[in-house]
Parts: sequence; C-alpha cells; structure tokens
Amino acid sequence: MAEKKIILPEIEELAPEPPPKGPVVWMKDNLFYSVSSTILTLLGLLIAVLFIRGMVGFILADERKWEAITTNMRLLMVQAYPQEASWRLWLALGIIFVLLGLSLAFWHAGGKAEPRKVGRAVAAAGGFVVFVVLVAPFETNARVFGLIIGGVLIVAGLGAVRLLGERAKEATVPVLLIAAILAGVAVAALWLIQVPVPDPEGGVGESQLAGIATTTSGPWTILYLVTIASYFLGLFLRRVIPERAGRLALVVLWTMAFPIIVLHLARGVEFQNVGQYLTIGVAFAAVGSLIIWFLADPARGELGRGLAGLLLVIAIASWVVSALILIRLMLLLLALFALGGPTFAGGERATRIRYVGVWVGAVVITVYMMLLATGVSLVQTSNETVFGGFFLTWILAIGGIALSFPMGVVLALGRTSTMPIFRLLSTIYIELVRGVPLITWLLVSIVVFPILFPLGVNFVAPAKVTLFIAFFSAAYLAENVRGGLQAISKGQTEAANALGMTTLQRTVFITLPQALRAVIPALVGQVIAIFKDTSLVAIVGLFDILKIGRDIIPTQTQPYNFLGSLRESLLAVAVFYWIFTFIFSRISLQLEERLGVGKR
Amino acid sequence: MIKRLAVLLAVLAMVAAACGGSSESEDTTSTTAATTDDTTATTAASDDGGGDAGQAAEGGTLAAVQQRGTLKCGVSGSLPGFSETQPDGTAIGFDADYCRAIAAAVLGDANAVEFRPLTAAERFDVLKAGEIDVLVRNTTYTQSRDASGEGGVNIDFAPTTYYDGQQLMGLSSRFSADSGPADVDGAILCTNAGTTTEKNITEWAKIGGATIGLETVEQFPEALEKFIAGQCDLVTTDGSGLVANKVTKEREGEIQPGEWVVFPTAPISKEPLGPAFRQNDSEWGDIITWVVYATIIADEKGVTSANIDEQKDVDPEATRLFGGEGEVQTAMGLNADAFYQMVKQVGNYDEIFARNLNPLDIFREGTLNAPFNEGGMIYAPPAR
Amino acid sequence: MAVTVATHERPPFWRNATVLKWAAQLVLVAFLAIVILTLRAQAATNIEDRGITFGTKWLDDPPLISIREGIDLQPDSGARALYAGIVNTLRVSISGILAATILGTIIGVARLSHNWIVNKIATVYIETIRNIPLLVQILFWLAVIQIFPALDEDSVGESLFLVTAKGVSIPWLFPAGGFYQWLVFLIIGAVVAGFVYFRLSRLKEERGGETYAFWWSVVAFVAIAVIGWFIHPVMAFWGPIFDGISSFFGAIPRVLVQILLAAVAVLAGTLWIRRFLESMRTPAGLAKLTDDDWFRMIFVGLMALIGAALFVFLPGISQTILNMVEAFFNFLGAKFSGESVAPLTYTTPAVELRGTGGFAQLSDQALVITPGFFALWVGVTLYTAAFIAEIVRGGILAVNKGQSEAGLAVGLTRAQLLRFVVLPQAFRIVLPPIGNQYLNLFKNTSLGIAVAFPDIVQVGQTIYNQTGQTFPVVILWMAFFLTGSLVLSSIVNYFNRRLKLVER
Repeated sequence: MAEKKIILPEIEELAPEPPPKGPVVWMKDNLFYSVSSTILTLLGLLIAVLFIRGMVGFILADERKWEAITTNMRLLMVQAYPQEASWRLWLALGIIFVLLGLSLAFWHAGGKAEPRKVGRAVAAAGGFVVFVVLVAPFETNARVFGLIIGGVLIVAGLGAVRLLGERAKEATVPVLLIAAILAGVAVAALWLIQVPVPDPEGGVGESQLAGIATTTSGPWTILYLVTIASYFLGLFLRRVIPERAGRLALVVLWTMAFPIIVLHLARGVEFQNVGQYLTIGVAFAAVGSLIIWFLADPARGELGRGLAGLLLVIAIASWVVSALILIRLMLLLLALFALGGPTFAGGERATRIRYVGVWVGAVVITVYMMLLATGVSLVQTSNETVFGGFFLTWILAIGGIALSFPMGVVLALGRTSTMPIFRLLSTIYIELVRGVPLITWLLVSIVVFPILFPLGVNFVAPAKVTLFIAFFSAAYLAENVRGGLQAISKGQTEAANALGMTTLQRTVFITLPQALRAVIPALVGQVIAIFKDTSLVAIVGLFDILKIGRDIIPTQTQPYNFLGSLRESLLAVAVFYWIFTFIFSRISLQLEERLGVGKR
Repeated sequence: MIKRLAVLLAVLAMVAAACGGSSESEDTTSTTAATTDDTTATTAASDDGGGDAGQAAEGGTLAAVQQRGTLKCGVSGSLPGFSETQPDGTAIGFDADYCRAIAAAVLGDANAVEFRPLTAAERFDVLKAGEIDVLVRNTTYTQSRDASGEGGVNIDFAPTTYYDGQQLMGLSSRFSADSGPADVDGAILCTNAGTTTEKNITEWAKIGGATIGLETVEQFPEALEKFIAGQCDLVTTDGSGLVANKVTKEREGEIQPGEWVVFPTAPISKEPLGPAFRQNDSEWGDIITWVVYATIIADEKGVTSANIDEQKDVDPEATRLFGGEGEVQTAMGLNADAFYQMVKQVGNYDEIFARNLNPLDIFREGTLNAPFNEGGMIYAPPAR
Repeated sequence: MAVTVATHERPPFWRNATVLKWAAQLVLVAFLAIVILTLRAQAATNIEDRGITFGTKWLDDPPLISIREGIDLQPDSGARALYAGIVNTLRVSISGILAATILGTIIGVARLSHNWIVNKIATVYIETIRNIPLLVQILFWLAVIQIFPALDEDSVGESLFLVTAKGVSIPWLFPAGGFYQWLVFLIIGAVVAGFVYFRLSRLKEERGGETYAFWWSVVAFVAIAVIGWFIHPVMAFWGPIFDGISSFFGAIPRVLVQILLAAVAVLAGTLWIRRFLESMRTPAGLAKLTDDDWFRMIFVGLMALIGAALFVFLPGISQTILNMVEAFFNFLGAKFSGESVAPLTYTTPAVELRGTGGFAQLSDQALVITPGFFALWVGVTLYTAAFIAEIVRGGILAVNKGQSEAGLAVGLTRAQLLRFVVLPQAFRIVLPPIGNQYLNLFKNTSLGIAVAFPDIVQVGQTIYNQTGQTFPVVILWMAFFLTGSLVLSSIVNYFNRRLKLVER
C-alpha cells in the first residue's frame, strides 16, 4: 500500500490575514489603550514637540553660521592636506570603491529581500529625507528637490507593498538595484543642492548661493560610476575565476588596501634603496623556498626541527648584531616559517607547495612594507603630519583595530593557557590596560612614551596614538575572544588531541576559527567603540575632526569670520560620527542574523 | 578578584621602585641595541613615520634640523597677533615670524617651517621629547622653568622678544584701569591651564587678600567664550593677548568699543616672553639667541628687508652680521649669509612687530618694547 | 609466564612537554626582562640628559593652583590637591551611577512599552546617544550651558531653582551638627526593621495569611528615625569613646603595626598554601603535585613575602594607615558633641554678592552644580543610561517567554507581571553587564579634562605641568583607577554571587 505523505501546512497559512487596521483603530490600540497609557502618550507628545521645536528653532535661527561647516568641509575632512596632492586621496577613495564593487559582486550578487521589508526601508529613507530637508538650513530649491525625492520614495515604498498585495509574498526585489538607485539620487543631489556660502567681500551676514559640493561633485559622480562598473566587472570575473580563489584574493586586497592607502598613497612615497631591497628579497625568496621545502617535509623528523631551531637562534642573534633591518626581519620570518613547517605543511606535496607560496607572498609584502617605511614622503604639510580631519579618524580607528587584532588573540590565548606565567602576564596586561581610562593612556603616549627612546627618534603623533589605541583595544578584544574560547565545547579539544594534533595545529585550525566566529558581533561592537573613542585624540592635540570643529572653526577670523559657531560645529561633527556609527551597527545586526548567532 | 589584587600589587611595586631608584645607573650593555648604524632602524618602528626621524642624539639639534631641511616650531596657533593657524596649516603672527626668522637663518628659507600648535599644558613635554626644535609660544622666562633638578622644568630661554605683563580683563561697567584686588574679591576668573598665569593670579589674590575662584581651560579662546557667556566674571592672561583679543572682537563687531577694559595699568607680573629650547644644547641655543639679537641690531641700525642690500654695510657691525664673509656666523655653524637672508626674507624687529601687532593697537612707543635708546628694554649685545 | 610491563620511558628533554613548557615561559620572561631593562636604561639616559629628576618632594610643596570646586579650593600641598581631585572624581562617579541606573531602567522598560510614542521616543533616544562619541556630547552640554542666563546684581535673591551660566543650583538637605548622632538611631532603626521583617515573614510562612511584614518594618524604621530626630543628643556619650579610641591608636608605635601587618601577610600566605595542600589530599595520601601546582604555591608564597617586606621596609604605609585610622576616630569624636541641632537643614538656592568686589555668585548654601560638573555629569549619565537601557531590555527579553505567558494566564496584570515575575529574573541576568557599564562610567569621568572639571586627571595634569613630575602622576592615576575598578567590581560581584541561581 502506497503511503500517503501527510504534509502539515504552516499554522500561519491556515489563519486568515487580519484585515489592515485603519488609523483610528491603530491609535486606540497603541496609544490610548488605558488611562496610564493616555497620560504617557500626552506626556510623550509634549516632550517630542518641545524637543523638535527647540531643535528646529536652533537650526533655523538667523545667527547660525552654517556656512562655517560648508566652507570648511575640506578642513573637516582632511585638514591640511595639500591641494595639489588631492588626487591621491581621490585615487585612494577610488581603490576603496572599486574593491567595494568587486566585493559586492562576489558576496552579495543576487541578494534579494522581501518587498515588504524593502518597501518599508525605502519609505523610512524617504521620510528621513523629508525630515532633514525641512529641518536643515537649505535653500528653497534644495528644499523642493528634497521634498520631491522624499515624497517619491515614501509613495514608492508604501505603494509597492499595497499594490503587490498577494504577490508580495513570492516576489523578491533585488536589493542592490535599489541601493544603486538611492546612491544615484544622492549623487545627483550633490549637483543640485545649493547652500549659502559667505561672500568674501561682503560683511557679516551676507551670503550668496553655491552648490553644496562645487569641487567634489565631479569626483563623486565618477566614483559612483566606477563602483557600478566594477560591480559588473566582478560579476564577469565571478564566472571566470573560481569563487573561493576570488574571495581569497579580495580578502588579501582589502587587508593590503589600508597600508597601501595610508603609507604609500597618502604620503606620496619616493622609494629609496629599491635595488638593494629587491635583491635581498629575491635572494631570500629563492633560498628560503628551498630551505622551507626541505624542512617542511615530515621525513626530516628530528633533524628538521633541530635545523629550524638553529635558524631561530641565528635570527635572534642577528637582532643583537648590527645588520640591516630587512635582513633581520627576513631571517626571523624564515625561522618562523621553518619551525611551523611540519605543523602546517607536513603532508602532501600540494600543501607544501602552497606553504612555500605563502612564504613568497610574505617576503613580497615585507619588502614592500620596508620600502614604504624607508621611503621619503613627497607630500609635505606645514604642521608636521599629513593626516588630519575625518581622514585621521578613520586611520586611527582602522589602524588601531587592525594592530590590536593579533595582539588581542595572543593575549586571549595566553589568558586561557595552561601555562601559569603566560596566564599571569596576560592577566596583568589585560586588567591593567582595561582598568585605566583611554585618555590616561593617550596622555602617557604623549608624555611618557617619548622618554623611552633616544633623542631624535620621534614618532609622529598619529603613530604613537594609533599604537596606544591598539594596546587599549587589544585588552578588550582579548576579553571578547576569551569568551569565545570558553564557549567551545571540550569535546572539540579532546577530539583534536585524540587525532594527534599538536597544540599549535589545534589552536590554529580548530579552536580559533570557532572562537572568532562566535565573537564576531562583539568584535563589531568593539570596532564601533574604538571608532567613537578616536574622538579623544582631540584632547592630546591631534587634529581630528572634533578638534577642528571645536578649536579651529569657531576661532577663524580670516578670510571669513566664524567666531562663535561652536555649537554648529559640534552638531555637524556629531552628525558625521552618528551616520557612520549607525551604519556600522546596522551591519552588525545583519551579521548577527546571517551568522545565526543565538539561534544555534 | 585575585587577579585584580595581583595587578594592584604589581603597580604598588612599581611605585616603590619609582620612589627609590630615580638616579641609579643601569648597566647599559643593552643600549647597543638602541644605537645602530642603520638609520632605517628607527623609521621601521614608526607606523606612519616617514624618513625624517633617523638621527642619533649626538648630532644635536642644529645637525638634525639641517639634515631634515625643515624647522619644527611649536606655537600657540590661537593667539591673535602672535600665532594664528591658517586654513592651510601655516601660522601668521609675531611668534610665527620668529620661527620663520630662525628657519631663514639656519636653512636659508623662511618658509621651511612646520608649525605645530600646542596647548600650554603640553608645550614643555613636547619640547623636551624632541618633537619640536624650538618653542616660540609666548612663553615666560622664569626661574623654575630654567632650573635643573627636581622641581624645575629644565629648559633654556633665548633673549626676550616681547616684554609683557599679566593683566585682567573685565566689563568696563564695573572695572576701571585702576581696579585692584579689592575689586576682584569674590569673582570667578577664567584662564588657561599650565601657565604662569595660574600661579601669578593665585599669588596676587592671596597677597591682596582677595578670594577668587579659578576655572582653567585648555585654550584661551575657550576662556574668552566663557567670559562672554557669563560663566566667569573676568579673564586673565598676558596683557598682549588680552588687548589682541579685545581689539579683534571690537573690529568684528562682536562687542562695542570700550565695552571691555584691561587692568591694572601696571601689570601684576613680569612676563618676559621669548623662544625656548632644550637644555644642554649650547650650539643650538646660541643660534636662537643670536637670531633674536640680529633682528634687534638690524632695527637699531635701520636695516630693513627693503633696504638691506644698500644698508648692509652702513657700519662695521652691520657688515659683520649682514654682509662680508660672516666669520662669526660660520663659527656658529651657520651659513655666512644667514642673518642677511633672515632680515631680507622676514625683516628686522620693528618690521616683525609692526606687521603683526600694530594692527591690534599694540605699539612699541612708551612701553618696555621700545628700543633701549627710547626708554625701552630692547637691547642687544654688540656683534663682534 | 613473564609479563612484560611497559615501562614509562621518559622522552628526551627536547621533547618533554614539561621541559618545553617551562623553557618557553622562561624565554618569554627573559625576553620581557631584556626589553624592560633596555627601555629603562634608555629612559634613565634621557632623563639625565634633560635634567629631570623624579621624587616625592612635590607632594608636600604648595602647588599654587586654585581648584574650581571640591573639598579644597586652595590646596596647600600637592598631595592635598590630588586628594581633592580624587574626591571630585568620586562625586561625579557615584552620582552618575545612581542617575544612570534610574534613567536607564526607565528607558529600557519604555523601549518595551506597548505605547507607540513612548516606545519610539525611547528608541530615538538610545539610537542617537549611543552612536555619538561621549566627548562630543560632553562638549555639547558645555556649549548648552553657555546659553543659560548670566548673573548680575538684579538676580540677587532666593529662588526655588536657579539655572544660570555660572551653574545650576537646587534645594538640598545638608547634614548639620547632630547628623551623626541621628545616624546611630537610623542604624538602630534599620536593624530593628530587619528583625521585624524577618520575624513577620517567618510568621507568614508558618501561619499563612498576610502579615504585611514589609510595611511593619517600614513603620518600625520610621518610628525610630522620628524618635531619634528629637532625642539624638542622647548619643553624645559616643564622643569621648571615639576620642579615646583615637588617642589609643595614636599611641600605638608604628613599628608594632608594621610587624603586625607583615605577620598578617605571611600568615595569609601560609594559610592559603595549607588550604591548597589540604584540597589536594586524597584518601590515598597527598596527590601528585603538577608543576603548575608548585608554581602556584611558590607564587603565593613569594607574594606573601613581598607583601611582608613592603610593610617592613616602607614604614610610610603603616604610618599612613595609623594616621588615617586615628584621624577617622578623631573626626567621629568631634561629631558626637551633644549638639541638639536638627540633623538636617533644608536650604534654598540663592544668588549673593560675594566679596568686596560684589560679584553675583551662586550661594554655597544650597547645592551648586558648576558648569563643568553639569556638562560631565549630564553627559556620562545620558550616555551610560542608553547602554543600561539596552541591557535592561535585553535582560527582560531574555526571561523565558513561558514565564510571562504563565503569569498572564494566572491573571496577573502587566504591571504585576513585571514587578513580581519578570524583573526579579531579569535582574539576575543584567547585573554583570550593568556592573561593566558602571566601570565604564567611572573611567569616563576622566573626560572632565575637556570641560575644565577638576577631576583627578585634570588636576594631575596641572601638577605635572608645573612640577615636571610626569611619571609619579601617571603611576598615581593607574593606582587610583585600578583600585576604583577593583572596589566597584567587588561590590558588583558580591551582589552577583548572592543572586546566582542555586541549582538543586
């Protein structure tokens, strides 16, 4: 007898859709459902109205000098970066956007979402645009433009949901297309919105109109088009290259993007010692590959380990004896790779070939970084450092987090280690660094840190600050990773031991991947926190966006007089921070959903 | 909890060690690692370092500056008339021009200066750490700053470029130029932190029997904002700063002319302002000293940036400084035409003063900044 | 038949796990030692070159600075100035923690409200405040306070609330002469109330029926407090007792205290080692001690010895402890003087003309919140409250939905549900993260340096600018913040342990 499969329908499909509530019913349900609720509603309305009136009154008052922000936008973004070298920054942005387009193609292509969600998000964006346009001090034509766009968005968003109705359940909407359209609208707005700028010849209070982004609307448009082009390029490449290889290449490119942009492009490095370094690099790559190939073969056994240990001793000796830094680094790397050979590459030939490939890659990167470090900076500014403004904020945040990552993982491993001295030292470091506020550490970096080095050796202020931000962040990161490490079930460790894996193999291949995966949301939270904490460098004299907004813009008297525009500057700085932090936290929420944290 | 205790014990141990061993001499065999013969050692350690930090200490500041090709000058950046930061990062003002004068003398190019705006709180540490070569930031020459040993700040000073005095500023509706401590009793004052200003006003109030509250901020413009908002009743700092800010605000129309008054007419303290440099570097110190003197001597002889080519031989002293073979300059480690370039590119004392301070109603006549033969204190030793 | 037993061959030393383990650790320690010694040598050279010397004389020298607010506006020694800074930090921290907890809980609950407007307001608040850096917010509040009206001669007089550019003043209750005597009555009242509550609750459990245990205990407390208000001079007999204790401590020779403390340290170490060995004892005798165990014992022993050595060789510590105890009892003795003044005085804000200069200032008779304190306190409170709100919301959501459903099924109202079922369980979950936020608030008060509030960091910076003593001040900062964090997290942990789920 054939079995009939019984398919139970989902409960939701059985129940009829409740009829959409009218606005009156909705208000009764959500605002006035009880006496206390009514009181709260009225109270809330009062607070909201007072607040909005206060804010709008403040923003639209006549004495506000919003031109201070628009005229000084360049100062806020990159401070004293020389005008003639601006192309470098645009190129850097271009690199980022190209990588963004390619990454979208490889990771998100074809991403679809429910029309209802998208519709609501679009309507919300439209509402936001309308609110901003009404509240912000734009000129009439900008207001009109904004209202039109906002209105269209709201109608499109809400309307799409209503219109599709039943079909809304099965249909899907390409998210990227909608994002591209919205971005295009934003770029168009750059061309069309006009804001008052102060008249250089006129007196106080006179102003004329100019585009919000006269010099930058062109480059932004180009960047927009470049992003779209690179997205399609990425789609094309995805068909040609295997996906994994492509993703790996993109990850490497993203990792290298930061040092390339900050150390190479923005500083305008002119390389020195190229010939010498290249020769050393090639020599080490060739000879090193042979050595590693030889030592990584597990057939070498004890002898191999012994030789690797000998290499390590030579490497350490080279640091005591005087030698080129590059040679010392190369020797150290070679020793580490040799020691790690049997652990990571013992086995088949293919693994060993890949391992040697990684070695060559490491040599290339090291030589490149050394060339960057010893190169001469072509971009000169007259106040000592090339980086300032919002640019500096990003550099401090990304550099600090990137540097803190390896430190944090090592500290976490140390803190959960079975070896008591490692545990003790890690604990002392973590508790000491976490127990003291960041501003104190920044003051230490300015006041105490330079004493530790001979006169004449001075790190530029951003370097010192990045270093100490990294130290600080590493302690917090270590606690997060430790949480992840402790969440791994003991069975994993036991299974790894049963299979005969060494501690190093177990840590790198089994423990760390699981731990890091579990703490990614906490890590993103850490990134957000560090991004906000970079504002503290204003206290130690670095010209980040907050210091420019607080100290420089409100004291400007030439060529325009912006005295007394402190509150406007602070509001603008707050808005900048808010936008990006908000985006980060949305990304964090999405990451949590994707990784299924808390559900498995 | 145990861990925290362990950390606390470790910190206490550090305290004990710090209290004990400040002047022990350590076995310095390991310092060989620090001094290498490869200049890239130090640059590799700096993240965004660039190629400018590779000198060992033995060369001294002069050698470092010449090798680098730019002069790192610490200024205020927010004091009208003395140093105001421009949008492109350079600074203009009396102090800023002296930075340029030093650069012109040492490097031959008045524009080879990196201006570093500093708060009063950090200026000495930045100077001592070697991050700037000279501090031209309306810094007062005092004994404690000069002193070595515990309790001193341990820096040295060049000759005074501006004789100033600390004064107070308040609303002219309740103060006059003769107001004294009795009129200030019970007030709240704002000033900037880390300066002699704090000490002076506290002492002045104590001696005068007045009780005051003091709010310290990081930068003087903040103090002024508080004063305008009514958070403090008075502000106090060097008289030149008060007058400069007052005149600027009057010009911009923020206040009525005469709404504020600077008092007392006889300043409550002596504030001789001048450039400052690190101790134990006499070669560099002598150069800065003689840059200042050369500008004064040029003014004395009537040599200006406009007429220097004709007037540089007006008398033997001028020739020694601005023309001729300049043996004294080369003996100091400078180029022979160092001071010639300086006056030509930047000007003499009077030009620097007039260019920056006259627009703010600060004049030399009748003040201590007049030439010595007109009753002031601007006097230079002979150049021979 | 011979049975071969595999003997345990020891691997060669270069593969012996224990040897490798300790070799690696020793290598790390050696490496760190080298690095630290190098840096120290370099620092010593630099310090000598620049002529700086570090010492402790500056602690006694008058710093010639004025502190805007706090316990000592014109400190006459560096140590006193730093002490004033510490007190200021604690003032902001404690009041901030209290305010942030209350505000954060309200907003967290509001975020879950069914009322749409309340919900949205809370959401907007959290999303805005959390995403703007704290420093920007603090500066913003400072800018806001600048638009408050300024004071002049016309504003002299009293008022209920004063919001001015020079600060905010609110009415306040200040402890007056008889306060400590009254405090004794309050303590007695609390003890009696606890006793009453205990007995009545026990009675309720045994007999059933309502005994209103809570309300009776409150009645008891209030009754004793009111009685104490009128008859507190009775407690004056404590005064001479405290004075006697104070002189007793003053008479103790310092050496005795040093020896005592050192003995305590050694004793603590010995006890720990003894207990540890006891725990390793099995019925078959002492278990085999691993190298880790040896390390722990040696470490504890070393710590105990170092502690003892510190007490013996640094007489300052014992002297300071003695002085502090003596001063404390002296202080108490003075407070129990038998005055019959009311324990609390109510004061209203006023503007007065101060000094011969006749400046309109906020009178100190009521509570004055200076602009710096206002900006810092409002900033950290709102900021921390946003985080606490999210934690509270998460905690409430984490309580099993079944609990809420069961509660509703049994017929509890939403308010009762919240109060009796959800919040107590949520409290257990949220306590550790909230403790973390308290620590963050404590550390965030260091931003007072940006708004001219004289907290420990700002005062410390002023001192080291004037005296050049950067190292000692930095070490003091570290010691202070570590101690503060230690105390705060101990308090939180204590409550945490008491609330832990006791598994069956």
